[in-house]
Amino acid sequence: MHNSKWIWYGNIWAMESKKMKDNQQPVAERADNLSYVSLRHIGKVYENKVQAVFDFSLEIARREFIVFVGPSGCGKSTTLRMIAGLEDITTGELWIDGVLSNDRAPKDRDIAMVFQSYALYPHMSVYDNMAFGLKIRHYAREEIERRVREAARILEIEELLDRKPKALSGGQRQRVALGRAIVRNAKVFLMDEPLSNLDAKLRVQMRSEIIKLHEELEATTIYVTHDQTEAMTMASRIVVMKAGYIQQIGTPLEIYNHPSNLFVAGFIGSPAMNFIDATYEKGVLTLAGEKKIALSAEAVEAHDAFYKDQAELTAREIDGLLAEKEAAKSVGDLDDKISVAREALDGYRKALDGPHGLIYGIRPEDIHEASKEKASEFRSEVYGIAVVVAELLGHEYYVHTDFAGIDLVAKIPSSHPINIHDKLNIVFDLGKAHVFDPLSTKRIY
Amino acid sequence: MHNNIVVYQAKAEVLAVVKYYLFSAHNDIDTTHFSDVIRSAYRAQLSLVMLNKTSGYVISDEGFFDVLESLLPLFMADTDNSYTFLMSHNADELSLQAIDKASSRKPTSVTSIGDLLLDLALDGDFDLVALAKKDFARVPRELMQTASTFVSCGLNASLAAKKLYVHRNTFAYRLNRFIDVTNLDIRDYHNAQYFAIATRLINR
Repeated sequence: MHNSKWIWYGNIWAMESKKMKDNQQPVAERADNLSYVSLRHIGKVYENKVQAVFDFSLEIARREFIVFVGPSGCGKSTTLRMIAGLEDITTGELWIDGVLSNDRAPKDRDIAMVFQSYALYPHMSVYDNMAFGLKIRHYAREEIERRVREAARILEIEELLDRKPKALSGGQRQRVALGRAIVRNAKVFLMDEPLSNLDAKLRVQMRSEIIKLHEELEATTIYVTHDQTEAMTMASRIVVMKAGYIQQIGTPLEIYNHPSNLFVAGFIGSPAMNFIDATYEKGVLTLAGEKKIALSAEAVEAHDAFYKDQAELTAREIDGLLAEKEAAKSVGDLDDKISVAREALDGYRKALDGPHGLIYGIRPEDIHEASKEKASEFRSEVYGIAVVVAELLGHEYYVHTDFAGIDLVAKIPSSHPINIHDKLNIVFDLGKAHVFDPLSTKRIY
Repeated sequence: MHNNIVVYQAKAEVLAVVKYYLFSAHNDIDTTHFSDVIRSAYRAQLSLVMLNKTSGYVISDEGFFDVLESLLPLFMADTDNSYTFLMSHNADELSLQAIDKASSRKPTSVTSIGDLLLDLALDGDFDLVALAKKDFARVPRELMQTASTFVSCGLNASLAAKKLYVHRNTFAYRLNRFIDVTNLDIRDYHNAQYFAIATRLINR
């Protein structure tokens, strides 16, 4: 104890140990930052100059279940590996439990990783597989025994401890793989697509197992997946990524109900949101050149406010670029940027006064078979459409329709049979529809 | 050549086909942990040579390739490190340059030198092809022709001998000489694949 001292950081006491001081590892400003894992403007550039991650900032609280989701190559696994210390961080800072960890060796970060592969040492029993990581770190035998038995109890695999991997099913193997991570009693669990190798049924089962496990262990978890369903069902917060950039951070409901842009709107939700090219003029949207929707006063207000803000932001951006150009006395890249920004500004200003293009987005679940009640409830016109394909899922159909030449997908309850070439009357739940700006791809409302 | 440290030497038994698994790690390797892990993963013949704190090679047989492909995540989890492995027929200059390129191009992966050569060539990088060309330049033409024919005949020795108008024994003698000179046993699939890709790229 004499090697440690308590320090008052504004509104919280923190103990700074001598060891920490000796190692020159600063204690984070705990007063204003109670996050457990903190990624601050993290960037990753590979040796071949390819940048995989751009300005990634995220504060993760203790016991949170964070899911990084995005298509292949979006930088989610790279970010996870940087947290684990298996990749160098090119720019930015990584703090774990108040300690700057950019250059800490992976073994000192107190992190356990679960990978996509659920491979196990083939000739070792389940017990030995789970114990191996501790054995080579020279833990006492009693401690190893205690931790393995406890992990086996949590995962309900106590009766499998003597079996060899070849005598286990895929799901049991994945449980053992989780057990190997649990026995390490790590501060942070990193999971890199741990369910991708499992079949669909098992994946659903293991999904709930992992959620239960997280509830029981209360470990801070960062989970990487390309599967939006996993993200929606498991996360306390989702980080949607694309091409190395964070697109949006939010709870599953925030991301689903208020997607920040076209990419997030299209990526989250299954089947994906329908996007229809639209023209806006004086409060009226014309979808696909023929179907008209009169927007509510709030929607028109949101539209005008969006374009006013965009115009202001872009004008400021141009001022900044011009100042930069004058200071640097250089042309080239900056001139290109200025001309693109000026074009955008022109577009935003025109959008405030005259007709312009927009993208209308409506989820399949917000399109309903028409009835008098629904038409008045949703204040929607009734559209007559022809069924192109009707996919029966049991309790509902995914109905693909020809909506003014666009493939529009609707989720319709299977209360009566729907067949190809049937005529259907549909209504849109206008309150749940979204409108996006085609230039910036941002959501207007 | 290198200040090698032999960490673990297998019993001096003859391996069917000797393979060199060059590796490069992201962080310094704890050789005791690393050695424990690979010996626990594969109980066949295995020797470990460290070239420096982050790289080295394992000498083993073909079977170790499959083990690496499936167990690499376990190695990483148990040693808190990430690795790139390259299977080659040698631990010569070509292979050492190849592992450097593999670790920057395909970090955290297991690949063979033939696959790497092809991947690099598709990206317009022929540095390794130039080294391979130097290697094969010292092999007598007759032996190169023997090897090429053997590979193009799908590793069928009788067919290759017939195609070359030589006796089966003459063919076997020349093939053995090719293997002695190059240390490249093309009776093995991955080695034959490397030979086919390398010679095709050399003659492009």
